[in-house]
Amino acid sequence: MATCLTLSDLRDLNISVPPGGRDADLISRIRAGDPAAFESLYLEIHPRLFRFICRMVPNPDSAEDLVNETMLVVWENPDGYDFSCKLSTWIFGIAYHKALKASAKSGRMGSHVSVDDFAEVLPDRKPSDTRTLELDNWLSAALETLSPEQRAVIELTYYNELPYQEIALILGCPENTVKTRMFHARKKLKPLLKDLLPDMDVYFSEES
Amino acid sequence: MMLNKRRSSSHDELAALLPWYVNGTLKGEELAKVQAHVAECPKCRTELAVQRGLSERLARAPVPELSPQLALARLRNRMERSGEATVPPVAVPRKSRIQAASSYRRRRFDPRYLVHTAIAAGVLLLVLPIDWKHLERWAEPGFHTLSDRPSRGESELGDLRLVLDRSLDAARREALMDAIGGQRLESPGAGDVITVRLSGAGAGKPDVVAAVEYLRRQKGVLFVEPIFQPEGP
Repeated sequence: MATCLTLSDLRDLNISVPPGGRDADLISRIRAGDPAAFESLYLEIHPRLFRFICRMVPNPDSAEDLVNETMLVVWENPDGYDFSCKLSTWIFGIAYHKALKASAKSGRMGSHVSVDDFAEVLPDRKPSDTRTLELDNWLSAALETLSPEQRAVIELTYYNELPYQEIALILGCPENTVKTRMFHARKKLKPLLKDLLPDMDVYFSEES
Repeated sequence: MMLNKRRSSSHDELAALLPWYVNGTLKGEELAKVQAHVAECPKCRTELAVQRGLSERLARAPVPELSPQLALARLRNRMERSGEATVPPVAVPRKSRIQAASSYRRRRFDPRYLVHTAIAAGVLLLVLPIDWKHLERWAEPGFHTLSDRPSRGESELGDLRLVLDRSLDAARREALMDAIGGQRLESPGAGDVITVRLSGAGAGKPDVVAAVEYLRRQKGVLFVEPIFQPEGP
């Protein structure tokens, strides 16, 4: 049964935009065509947005293009924002749908992409980090087994630390769908996580 | 039997909320219920520990890094090329701009529009040789209409926007500047984006195309584009 959020629910969750708050100020300046407001928003949201899109599309070039396409929508159509959610939620929603389309177009779903594909833009690592790099690579590979929708839920929950209600707004789906995607993602990841979480052997031997 | 089924369904519902218990976004009644359940359910306590481990790993997992300033510079260039960046919405209301674009798109695929375009192109081909003398004026040096901007590589100022890899040392940066005959302009607040003015060989016009092509071949040059708008001193 789909759960719909009312405006008062959003207020309780502190998701809606308080009048006169920073989001409201930024968007009204962008609506007035203030490039400084747009740049300030761009620089603030870029790291999280780029990372989120990178989790969904095959290469950093596409991710950069998608970030810029998303932000162009914000610049060209700021009236699309209706204050019913946080400004960042609206922007992540645009990015999610663009990334999903790009991902479907490139046929990435289910295909394996190694962390090596990102080698040129990955942060520098010391040789002593080899083991960590191996595990990180393994984690990236594990995430690749998920659908883009499941990866989005994982990323928005664990990295962006968003409540499931806000994730539902970004993904444009009912809250229960978010929980179901998380459930299936965790189930799929479980056998792949043994190496990542060696202290949890008992847990992994329980059900598998 | 009934009681066990109810317990299990309650367990499943609360276990489904664990990821948001881990990220600290559960509130009110849901938070209290999950806390109480975790205290008495060993399975959920173990699951919680696994999820915390996964959360920490994910936070550390490598993702590509891209300088926001560099990405913004690229977007600005793209907008400048399409004439978007500096057009205030007061001059051309946004909605009408979008509507104009979509109506243009509609017209592009209208067969009548294509016929009109073909006729106009034919007439232009007939007129061009006759009015050649008039057109020749456009080739005179220094002749510009108000709307014709220098094309790519013909920046009159010979300015470039450049972003270099942070690992490049000062000597290498200087060598690159020397190679293109460029001088770094101070651009406060530009972050990693450097504005470079080309001096040109002798009294000649700086060869922006050659400089851009040269820089694009060099290791450590992340981004280079000519600037079409006057900038800096």
